[in-house]
Amino acid sequence: MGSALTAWSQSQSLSFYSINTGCCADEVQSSVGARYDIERFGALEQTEPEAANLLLINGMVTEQAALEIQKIYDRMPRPKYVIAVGACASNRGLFCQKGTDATARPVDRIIPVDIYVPGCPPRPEAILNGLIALQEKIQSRLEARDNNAD
Amino acid sequence: MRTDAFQSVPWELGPFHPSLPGPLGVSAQVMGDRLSELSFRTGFARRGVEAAMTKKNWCSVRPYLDHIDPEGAGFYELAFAQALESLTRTEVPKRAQVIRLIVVELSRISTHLACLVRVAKALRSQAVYHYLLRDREVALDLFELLAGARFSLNFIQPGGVRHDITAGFVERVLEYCALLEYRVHEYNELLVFHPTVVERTRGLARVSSELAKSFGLTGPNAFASGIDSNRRRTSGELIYSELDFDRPQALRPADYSGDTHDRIVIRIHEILQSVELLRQACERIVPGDFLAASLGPKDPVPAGRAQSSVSGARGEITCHLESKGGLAPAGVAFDVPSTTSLRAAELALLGVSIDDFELALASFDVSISEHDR
Repeated sequence: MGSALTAWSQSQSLSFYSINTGCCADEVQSSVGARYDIERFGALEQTEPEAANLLLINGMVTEQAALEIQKIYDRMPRPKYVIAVGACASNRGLFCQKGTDATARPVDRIIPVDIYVPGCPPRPEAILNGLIALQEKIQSRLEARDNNAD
Repeated sequence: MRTDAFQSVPWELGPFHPSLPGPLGVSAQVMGDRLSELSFRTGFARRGVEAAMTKKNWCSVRPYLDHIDPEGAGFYELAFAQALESLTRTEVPKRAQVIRLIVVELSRISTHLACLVRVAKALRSQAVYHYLLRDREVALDLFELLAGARFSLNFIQPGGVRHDITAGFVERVLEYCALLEYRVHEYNELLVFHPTVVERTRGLARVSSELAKSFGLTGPNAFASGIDSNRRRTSGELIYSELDFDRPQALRPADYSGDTHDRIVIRIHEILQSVELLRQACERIVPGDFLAASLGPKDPVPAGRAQSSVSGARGEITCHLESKGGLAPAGVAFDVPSTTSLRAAELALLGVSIDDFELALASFDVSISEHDR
C-alpha cells in the first residue's frame, strides 16, 4: 500500500528541467503553453536542476554540451528520470553521418535515458505521450519492487 | 554602509538555463548589482550544418536548412532556393512567389511572437506568455495545413514550392490576420505599453545608431536603433515591390532610440505590417504552376557561385553557394543576423542590472542555434 502511494505521487509530480539545444525546445515550449498544457499531467517546469526530478534533453548534444549536461544531471536529486526529446537527442538524427565537423553523440552515451520520443521535432502530443509513458514506467517499476518484497 | 567599497564579483550563468535564449555561457563581473564585464561563450549548439550539407545531393540538403534557425526556417529555405535558382537559371512561377511570400510573412509573425514570448517570460508575465503561445499555435496550424509539419517545413524548394495551397487556406490566413489585429491591442495593454514595463525598459541597454552601424546590425534590431533597414521594398525579392508597406502606418526610423522598449515595439509593428502584407498577398494569388522544375537526386547543378539575401525576422540572411558541377554542393555558407545581434548585446548589456539582464537579452531576439549552426 505504501509504495503504491509513493509510485502514484512520484509519477504525478514530475518537475522537469529542460536542456534546450535545438528546435525541439520550441515544441516543448508549445507543450507548456495553454493548448497542450503539460502541467495537467503534473509536470511543472523548474528553473534549477536541484528542484527537478525529470530532465528533458531537447535537441542535439555536442561534445562540448555533454560535459555540462553531465554536471546538471549530477546536481539533480534522486530519484531522477531523463526523456530524450527528438531524433537528435536519441540517435543524432540528421547529423549522424561521418565526415562532417559535427561532434555530437546520442545522449544515452552520457547519462541513462528512460524514454525516447521520436520525431524531428516531435509534436507536443508526442512529448505528452512520452511523459505519460514515463509515468506508467515509474508506477510499474515501483509496483514490481513491492511485489518482490512480499 | 559605504557603497563605493564594493568590489566586483564574478557571476556565471548557463550554458543551459531557462532564462537564456539557447545554450549560451555567460561570464560576468558584477559591481553592486550592475554588470561591469560581460562575455558570452557559444558553440554548445555547433552541429556543422553547412558542412553536413556538402555531403548530400542537391535535392536532399533541404531538411538541414530548417535546423539552422528552427523558428524562422522559411527564410533559410528561401535564401537557399533563390541562390540555387540563380545557378540553374530557373524562373519561379508567379503563384509560387506569392505562396512563398505568405510562408515567409507567417514565419516572421511566428518568430516575432516567439521573441515576445521570451520577453513575457523574462517579465514573469504568465498571462501574456500563455496568450502569445496560444496565438502562435495558429500560425503553426497554418504551416501544418500547408506543409504537414509545424516546424521543419521543408516547403520552399528550388523552382517553387513543394505543394500547392489547399482549399480554405487563404480564408484561414485572412482569419488569422483579423485575429492578430485584435490581439495586438491586448498585448499592448498587458505587456508592451503597460506602465511598469515602459518604466523598466525605457533607456535600458541602448544601442545607438552609430553602434548599430559599426556592428552591422540588420533587420528589426537595426530599425529599433533608428536605421531604415527594410530592404524588402527595394531588393526585388519575391513580389514585395508590388506591395504597400506603409499600412497600417508608415514606420519611421527616427521614432526609435534603440533601447529595449523600442526593440519590443518594433516587433509589434512588424507583426501588424506583416498582417497587411499577407492581406495584399492573398489578393494577388494567381492560378498557374506552383513548381517550375524539380531537381532530382541524379541532377547535377551547373558550376558557379551564387548568393542571395533574404530579409529574415531577425535580420539579413545571406546564402553563399558554390557548385563544381557535381551532384552535391561544393560549398554552402550563411551570413546570419544573430551573430551581430549577440555581439551588440554583449556590449549594450554592460551596466545593466542582473534583474534586467534576461529581459534586455530577450529583446535582442538572438537565436543561438542560428549563431552556432
